Amino acid sequence: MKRIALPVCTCLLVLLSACGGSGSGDYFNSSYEKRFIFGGQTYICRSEKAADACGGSNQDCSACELESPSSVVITQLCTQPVSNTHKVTVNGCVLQLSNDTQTGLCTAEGLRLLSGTNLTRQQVSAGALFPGGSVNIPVGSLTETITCN
Amino acid sequence: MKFLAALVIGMFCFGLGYCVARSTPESEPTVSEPNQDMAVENFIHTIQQKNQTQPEDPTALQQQLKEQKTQVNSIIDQATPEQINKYLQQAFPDYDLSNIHDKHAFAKRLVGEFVDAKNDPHERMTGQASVTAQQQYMANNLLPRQVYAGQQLFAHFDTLGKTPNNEQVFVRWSNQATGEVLFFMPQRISANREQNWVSFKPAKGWKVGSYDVKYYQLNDQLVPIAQTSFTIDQVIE
Repeated sequence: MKRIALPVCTCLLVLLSACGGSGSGDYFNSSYEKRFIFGGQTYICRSEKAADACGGSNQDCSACELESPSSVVITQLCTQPVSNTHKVTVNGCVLQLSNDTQTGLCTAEGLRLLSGTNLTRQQVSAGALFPGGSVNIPVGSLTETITCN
Repeated sequence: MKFLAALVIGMFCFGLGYCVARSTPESEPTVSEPNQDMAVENFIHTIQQKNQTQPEDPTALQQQLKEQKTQVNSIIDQATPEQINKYLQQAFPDYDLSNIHDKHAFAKRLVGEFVDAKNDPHERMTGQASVTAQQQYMANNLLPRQVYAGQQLFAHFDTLGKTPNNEQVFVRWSNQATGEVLFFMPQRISANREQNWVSFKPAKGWKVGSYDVKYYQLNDQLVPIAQTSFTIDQVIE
């Protein structure tokens, strides 16, 4: 029986290994998230590859984020002090526009906007920059204003 | 016994693409056990070393298994749990298989999902999945029909709280038209949230066509979590 089972099990192994296998090429990744503390600093690794590198012998955490206020996800909704005017804050907030959802952040450079939600301050800091601190978006016959001011 | 030899030889031929086999396929069934063990160990070792790239022709193995699925299942039934366990652990060294109590059932489910690699739109799913070009999950964010050949695509899934959160899932990416399995592996995810993703790109790049993605719990029965399909209309080389 062993003689039969062994090659079959091997075939099973081939099957399993054949389609992705145990390799670690750049063909796939996942949303595995892990924190590492080195030298009093906390690194947040947001993918399996990044976590493997950070937790490895070389402690390569270059693909991970340093925990800081900038790694906090922005969830606060922006206020509308005036109809069709959205007020963005320095802590960042989510803008529910007529036909889109954006996340905004007011920085020293101006207004930063990035499409979507569940974004961190760090991510939004790399979004579109409006140095004047505000932007007008025409939506049909309306104009929506997003502003830091 | 004849078909078994053919099956073994066929699969080994597939595997030989990766490794330097020391025995001839014809002599496989008569190799003495110590030598066979050594060949298997070498085989596994070589696969693990060379599996940094994807296989040239996974459909050959897939087709053979499909034709002889009943026999393969029967043989899996006859293998000892230790044997199945050993090879599962060697196939997935980085994953915790302790939640899989019935290794035979698991192995047979793997074979089943490997050979019938198409999503069944009528199969009941507890979660949702969608494929996008971005790592960031956004509701209603559809995959552009035009993608770069070497672009990783992200298969997001949401358990909707109906599946126990686990640090591992099993995922399959396949070509809808040919049924070819492109990726079939456990993956580690974040257990502290309901939305996760696995990204993937084929070694030879995306081709125009429709694809299926299916997520499973990593348990005995590979219980499905969510599935989705997507279409690529144009590939930018």
